[in-house]
Amino acid sequence: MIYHRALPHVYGYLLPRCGSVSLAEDLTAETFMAAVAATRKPDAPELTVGWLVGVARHKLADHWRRSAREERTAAVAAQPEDAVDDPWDTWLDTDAAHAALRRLNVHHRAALTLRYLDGLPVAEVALHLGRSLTATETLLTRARAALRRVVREESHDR
Amino acid sequence: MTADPLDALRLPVVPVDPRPRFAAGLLRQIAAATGDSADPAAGGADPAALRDNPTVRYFVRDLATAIAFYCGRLGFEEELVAAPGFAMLYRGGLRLLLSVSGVPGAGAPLPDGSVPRAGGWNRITLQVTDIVGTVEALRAAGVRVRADVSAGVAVSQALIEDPSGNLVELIEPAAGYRERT
Amino acid sequence: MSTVSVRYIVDDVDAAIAFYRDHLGFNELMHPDPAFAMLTVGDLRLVLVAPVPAGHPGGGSRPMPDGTRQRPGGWNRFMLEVPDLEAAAAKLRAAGVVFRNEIVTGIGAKQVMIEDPSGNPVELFEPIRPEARLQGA
Repeated sequence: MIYHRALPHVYGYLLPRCGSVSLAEDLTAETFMAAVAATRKPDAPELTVGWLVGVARHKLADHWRRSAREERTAAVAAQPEDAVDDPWDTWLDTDAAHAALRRLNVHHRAALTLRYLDGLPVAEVALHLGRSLTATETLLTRARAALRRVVREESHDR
Repeated sequence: MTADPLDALRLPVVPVDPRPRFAAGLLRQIAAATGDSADPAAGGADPAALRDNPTVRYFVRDLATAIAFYCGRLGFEEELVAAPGFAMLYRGGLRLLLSVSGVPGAGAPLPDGSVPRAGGWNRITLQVTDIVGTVEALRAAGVRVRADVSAGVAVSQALIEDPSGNLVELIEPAAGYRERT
Repeated sequence: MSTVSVRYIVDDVDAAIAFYRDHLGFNELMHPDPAFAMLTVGDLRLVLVAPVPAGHPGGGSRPMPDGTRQRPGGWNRFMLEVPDLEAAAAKLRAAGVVFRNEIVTGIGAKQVMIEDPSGNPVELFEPIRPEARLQGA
């Protein structure tokens, strides 16, 4: 049955993006229950691993939106924002960058995960986040700056 | 157009096995949601779940000892126990039935007098992480290791015995190797 | 965990492949070596291996450190659900498949055991539908 085969793929998609086993498990369960419900509808989609990962991505974006609403706006506004996107150093420690993502606020983390970890075009990122294209581009600029700041802070600490 | 250095963060989907308890619970939930509704009063096995889970039957000498071994040492979960002769366990997608030799049911003597019993070389294969550590821990706990860890090209494998002498094969894929589907 | 894997020792891998493929609907996934094959049906992966000498590169069917050779047989087996056990059994009998017992009715299912060409058992079962059981009660 597709669900057995797809489970490690869905979980494997979610775990590195969630950073916690319990959140990844919750979202995995939500994904499969949503999939089962969708297969009951008359225009049921084709049940493939790729489609299930897409559902998982929606569930993850939903989770980020919920978290973002719960985060106090004061905390979000307190982050210093660089309007200018300075160029990165040519060498990027991807492990450090992936780890640093966890330290960003949820808006920045969501935008960078969809745009870079998933490789989605900016227009699709906008759809997932429920923002306009312009707002998403602005968010990505700030998110990249925030990521660079965290990566630099952590490398100086070493 | 200059390449975006953050494109290096691209993370393709790599399958990861979740915790066996979680996986078993979720797959049962899905089977219940997608299968025919079973009459809870009917007892026995749920037909919808049986359709979805590959099933293996092992013969054992003692039910409680066998359950303690599979659940306590190998991460199986109890689904149903019908002492003294039968138990149904899950580990991920594998449904393992334990039948006690000589007890009415699958373990009962056949018309020709032969009685199903444990043993033989055919076996289930379980994937583990850190096979060397796993086998060390099992050995330290008194589990018989019939064949120690040996590394092949794609997998490392080992053979351990359950308390009745049935074989269980443990494997760990080598880094970079994934199951062909 | 993503697939469920069972290993059976057989005398002749090609004969075993033909048996599982033609009688039980398995698909051949790979057969890279005369002594090794992988078949699938549903989520079950069946690995068939013939015993090989101690120096053979593959690990699954070599003798034990004390020299004991792996052999087919025994009672432990994987199970396959069939929608109509009587019909399946009749067809297999007509094709000359060896049966270890007659159809037995247990709690929840009817079952019967057949043997592959090496004498390994396979259990075929048909769940007893709850409605049918209630009717008989």
